[in-house]
Amino acid sequence: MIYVKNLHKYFGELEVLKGIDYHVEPGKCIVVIGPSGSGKSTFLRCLNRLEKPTKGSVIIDGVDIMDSKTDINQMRQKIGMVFQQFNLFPHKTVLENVTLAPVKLKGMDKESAKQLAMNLLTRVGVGDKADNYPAQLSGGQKQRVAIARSLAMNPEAILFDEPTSALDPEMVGEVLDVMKKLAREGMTMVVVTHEMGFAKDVADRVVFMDGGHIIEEGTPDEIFNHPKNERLKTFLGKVSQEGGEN
Amino acid sequence: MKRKVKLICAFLLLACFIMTGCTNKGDEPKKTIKVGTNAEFPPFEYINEQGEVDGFDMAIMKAIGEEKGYEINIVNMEFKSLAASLKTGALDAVAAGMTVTEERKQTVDFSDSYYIAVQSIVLKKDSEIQSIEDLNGKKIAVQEGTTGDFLVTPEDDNEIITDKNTQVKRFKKGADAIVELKNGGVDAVVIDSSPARSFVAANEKDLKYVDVETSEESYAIAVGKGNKELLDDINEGLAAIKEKGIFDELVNQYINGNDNKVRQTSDNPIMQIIYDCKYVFIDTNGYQLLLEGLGVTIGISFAAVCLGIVLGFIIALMKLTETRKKRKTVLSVIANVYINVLRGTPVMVQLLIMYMIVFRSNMAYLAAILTFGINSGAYVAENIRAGIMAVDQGQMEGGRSLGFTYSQTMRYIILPQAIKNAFPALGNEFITLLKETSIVGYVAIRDLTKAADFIISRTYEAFYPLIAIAIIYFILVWGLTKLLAVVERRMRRSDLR
Repeated sequence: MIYVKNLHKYFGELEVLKGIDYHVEPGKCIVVIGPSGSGKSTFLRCLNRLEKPTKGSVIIDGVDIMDSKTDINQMRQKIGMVFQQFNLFPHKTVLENVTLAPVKLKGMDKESAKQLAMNLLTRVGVGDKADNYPAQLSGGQKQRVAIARSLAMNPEAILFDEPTSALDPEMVGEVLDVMKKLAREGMTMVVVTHEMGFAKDVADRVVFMDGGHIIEEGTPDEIFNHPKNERLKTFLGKVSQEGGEN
Repeated sequence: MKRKVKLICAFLLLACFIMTGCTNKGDEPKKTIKVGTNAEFPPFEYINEQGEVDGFDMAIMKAIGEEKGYEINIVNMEFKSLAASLKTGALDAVAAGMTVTEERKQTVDFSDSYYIAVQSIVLKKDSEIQSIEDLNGKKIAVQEGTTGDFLVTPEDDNEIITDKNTQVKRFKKGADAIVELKNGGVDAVVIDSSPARSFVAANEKDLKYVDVETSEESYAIAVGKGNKELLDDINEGLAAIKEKGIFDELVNQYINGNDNKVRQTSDNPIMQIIYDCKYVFIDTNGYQLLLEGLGVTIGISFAAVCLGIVLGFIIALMKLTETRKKRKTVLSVIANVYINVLRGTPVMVQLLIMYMIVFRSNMAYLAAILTFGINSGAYVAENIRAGIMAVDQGQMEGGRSLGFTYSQTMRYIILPQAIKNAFPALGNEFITLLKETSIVGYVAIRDLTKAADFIISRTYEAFYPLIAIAIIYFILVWGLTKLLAVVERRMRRSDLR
């Protein structure tokens, strides 16, 4: 579904991605792990061109998003994104946050959009907050609203950029549960996270990135229980020492 | 011999009549001429109770216009600017009790004189000054650029006022000079005899006048240098209305007439205040001038605020192309020039440029609205831009990731938040603009401040009208502040926790 070929990204002189090749299969949950500065967030943001890749191609449903003829806004409607900082629209109610894009971009009438939004909000467990403003929600609730917001466009895939990193520890679980549910339902997901437990339990494939390269890729069992690369071993050693995760 | 002269005169006059008759008979469309004056010189020119420019000069200009087939369009401006406006062509003629002097003859052409005036010294009742020589070393108020000004200003060629310590305070209006005298700021006012009589008649309790016998001078209508056609028409018209007796009627009506309103007085200070207010605001129709001025002030401010908001948004978005593209763009350069020029020059100067140069002294209201709107646009643009910059970068990413274009994200997501951020600063800007409009009087618009000016020049009372407009401005700003607070509270609903 998403093919990444020889992807390079420079920030000025600094090469952050040094040639990434990957294929995200439909219906799979891919978890990207790696030390900070390894380029995993940049990789994710290149998939919907929030960062413009310097070189290479990203082909979604047979369309190269690097092609200047591609309508990137059209493509982004198919690829949802959930941010570390939620990026909810503070001047709109929770309900309006969810209905805005379907109404304005898909021309959905307000009543059906409202119904859709209520369904989604109930699904992620914040149905009772529909009329509140984002400032009145907890971090976990905000992130679940953000997930509902991206689901409202009925995307083919959702990108998660460290969705739990800005949350208080007691709220991480509620967000991961929603993501777990989504994965079980067969949503194509690419998740950048530090939650090793989530990677182990939910991921179909785990990608380990370091220094702008994909170092190792495999099933959770292969990555966590039989790591081959030294750098991966060191990384896993460190995160288990910190012992924060599960 | 005498009979012969009389005969020739009669013949010439007859010829005049026939000629004027001919020009009128043709029923050709009337030519409009713009006649400049400074309506601060009663009884020759002043603002009447209907708020129109009236006076002896206006009446004779209209009579001449009738005779010679001209539509007279009166433009009220500073006395100082009249001659210059003739030169630029913004005016065709000046009828402003203008004294014929050799100096002025260099820049304008004068018609036949229609009035001989002497200068008068207006004094407080108890003053010991008796002649112009006594003014040496005193403080004197004059109307700027008038004969009185030249008479008492101690220059090297001034043979009467030789004391270099003589202080001359120059006012734009005779009435202001009189107010200064009443307040004790000067010892005397030197001004033409007719207005001097009017002023003293209105303040009989406090003031008296002394004529300066040596200062005889004649008033004439001025036209642009070399405009012989108009000058001839004016001279012919003047001769015609003198012949028909219209001129004398007007002299009686305006100059010898005595229609000054009687003011009630009282020894009880509170009653005196009530009588004064009644005189200033009701008897002389001051309230009507204030109401009209209020309407003008609100109208101009409102239109300018609307224009300023529209321009401000456009300029802010133009300037933001620089932030988006991370380099200077044509649009951002234009926006920067716009902002820098308009913030870097006084709005007063902008107003005068707009009115006198761009509009060539036409359409003052439009010129004022455009000036304030364009000026305000620069400040609004910076406020809006600051508001946009204060919106979290993640908001743009959030919008774009859903598939909104840049401009959709701006419209639905960034701008609503930016306006909320910018609102307090915008409110400030609107309040400033409302008060800044008080300078539109300079382009002959009768706003609230100008209305007070008129009341002062008609009643010679400065206190009541100035306090009145200060209160009105305050109430306007106070109301606006309340309104803005209500709007801001509604906008801040989403901040509730």
